Amino acid sequence: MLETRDLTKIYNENVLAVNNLNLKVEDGEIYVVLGANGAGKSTTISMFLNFIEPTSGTAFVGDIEIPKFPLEAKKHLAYVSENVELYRNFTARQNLSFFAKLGGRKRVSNDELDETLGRVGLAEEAFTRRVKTFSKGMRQRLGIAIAIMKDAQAVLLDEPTSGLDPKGGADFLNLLRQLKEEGKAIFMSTHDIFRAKEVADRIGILVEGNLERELTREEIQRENLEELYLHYVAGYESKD
Amino acid sequence: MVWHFALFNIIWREIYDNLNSLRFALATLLLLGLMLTNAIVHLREHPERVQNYHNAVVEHHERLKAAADESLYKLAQKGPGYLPKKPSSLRFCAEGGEPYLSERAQGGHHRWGTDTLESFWILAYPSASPNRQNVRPVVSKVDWGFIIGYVLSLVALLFTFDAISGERERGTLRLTLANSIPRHTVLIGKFLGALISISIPFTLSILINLLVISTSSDVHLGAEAWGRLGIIFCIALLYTCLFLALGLLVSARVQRSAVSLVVLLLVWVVFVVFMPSTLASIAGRSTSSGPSLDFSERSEKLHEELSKEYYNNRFKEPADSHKGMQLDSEYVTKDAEQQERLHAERLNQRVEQVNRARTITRISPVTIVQHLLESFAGTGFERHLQFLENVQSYAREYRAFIDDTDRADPDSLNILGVPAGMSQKPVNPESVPKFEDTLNLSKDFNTAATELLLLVLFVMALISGAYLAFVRVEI
Repeated sequence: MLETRDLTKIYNENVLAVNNLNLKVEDGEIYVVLGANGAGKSTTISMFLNFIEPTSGTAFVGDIEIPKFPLEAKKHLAYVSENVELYRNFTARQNLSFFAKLGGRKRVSNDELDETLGRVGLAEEAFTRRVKTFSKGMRQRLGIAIAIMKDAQAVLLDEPTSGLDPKGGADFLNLLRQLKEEGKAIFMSTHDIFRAKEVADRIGILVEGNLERELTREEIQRENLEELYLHYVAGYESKD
Repeated sequence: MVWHFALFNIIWREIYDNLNSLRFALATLLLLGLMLTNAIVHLREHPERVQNYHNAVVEHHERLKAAADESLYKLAQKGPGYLPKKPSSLRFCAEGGEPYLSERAQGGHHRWGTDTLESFWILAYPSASPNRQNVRPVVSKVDWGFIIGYVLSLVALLFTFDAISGERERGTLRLTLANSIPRHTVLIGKFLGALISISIPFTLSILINLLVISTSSDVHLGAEAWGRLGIIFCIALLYTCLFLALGLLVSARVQRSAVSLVVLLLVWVVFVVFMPSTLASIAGRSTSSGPSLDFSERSEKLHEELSKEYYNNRFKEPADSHKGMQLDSEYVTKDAEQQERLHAERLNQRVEQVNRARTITRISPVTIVQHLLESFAGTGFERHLQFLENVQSYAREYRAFIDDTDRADPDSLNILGVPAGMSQKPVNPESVPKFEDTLNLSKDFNTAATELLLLVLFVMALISGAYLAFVRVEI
């Protein structure tokens, strides 16, 4: 379970990035947060991972308060970032093995590595290729493999589908569904309304750090999400 | 102890990444090339230096023998002659301004003479030594000092300029820190990984350098020399740590690797290239040796005053009276004392000036490391001071020998400086003390202590700076 309580981040120059954010992602649930650039999506994920300290409020993974026990909390968090390049001189297998060991795994067999790489749709011939020869989509799949390998209670995804081709995107959504079935709490930020609609159990629309609207699965199916999103984003844009 | 395991993995990854990089290949080639050049040049120059030293030692011994065969008086009057400085077998480590320092001290030359008296020997030092060149880092020779001070420091920066900023750009830093690993573990891993990566080509090039040098029959490296080489290697690693920490500090503070590289190159140019030469120029001005004419004038004046006083008193006494001989003795010995004191004063003045100048240049780490390498290689200014100490101690021993031998002769009147007042018997040349220049490792440690401490402080400060920068940075 992931949770934020009045989570707020104000940067040095008095820039309000996230304002009193309250949300909860249950185990086995996919929560998608939509928002324009600078809406506070990545800042929220950064606070979940303790990359930045919240100005006020707090966040939890399970019962663990993240700002107070960041190292303990990170044991239960996996992360997939946008545009990850990984270690270019390492092969896919070496990258996966390295991050698995950082995640606390003492020994990882090649079979286990290959199985995970296969699961995210990487071709077998790519397992032993250096990552510098990979396309962006392949690197993204490897990033997801790293998150799967950690087998954490909650998964944070920061615009993971950006740059993926349609097949890659579809495969990715299937992977998310599998993770959901495994009971993971999934928090994903994206601009991609269509993929969000396909996979999300709940959607939050974040505008200038404020959670403007939260939609349930039923509302997602019922409402015109694109119009709704544009309404909120454009509404704020028109104020400027 | 999960973080130990993570640390090991980070170190391993850093080393693997570096070993597969172009910079590693280039650094290896560069260090190997420079170390080989250093070894070849040393093998070409060192035998000649050793030969010159042996010739000077033989000359010194022959002079003592010739004088001893004549009489004790001649031995006392002529002195031991030129006292040669032993060339260091580790000169390839640090040239240390040796070409500007004298290779010998003067243990007596004929200054004046009358029908009955001759000037006694004094300890003198060549006028060019030590001088302002001793504060300037030597860059004209490819010695270890140059390779470590300039090349290794640059290599260290090239291995760390993107250590953090590069990972931030590639997104791998976020992925790494998304795991349960403290930031300091990542920083230590990066630091040690880079240190080991650089140590590989550096150690390899040093081993090849020493292999080439030690297999030559012209160079003999004893146990102490190997110990000194070990210390020099440790100093090189400590100095490398300084630049690794600097690289990590800047890399943590800036967002982009390109900016980090530019900033680090700028810092390197200022602290390693610009500052030492500028400080040396400023300090050099304050170490001007002063007109040597002044010195000659003072020397002549002192001698003239003493002569005047002597002749005034001497004419009152009969030529062969005991009182007259004592006046002769006083004249000769006082003249020698005055002249030697004058030389010593000039030397001390210059040593003090050079020491002051060297203190100023210590702001730059490259100067510190060069001073340290000189100290342990047995070259340079500090080594020269040790040589002068050896020379002065030998002069005391030599004079004590003359006194004791003269007293032991029952036929001698024991009036020093006068032919008729001293023993005229020949002396066994074997019993005459011979000058032997030695090096003392514990003294080297003492002289290097301040600089070692400074270097350690610099390293600690930069590591702390890198830690604070990395811990506070928002990624």
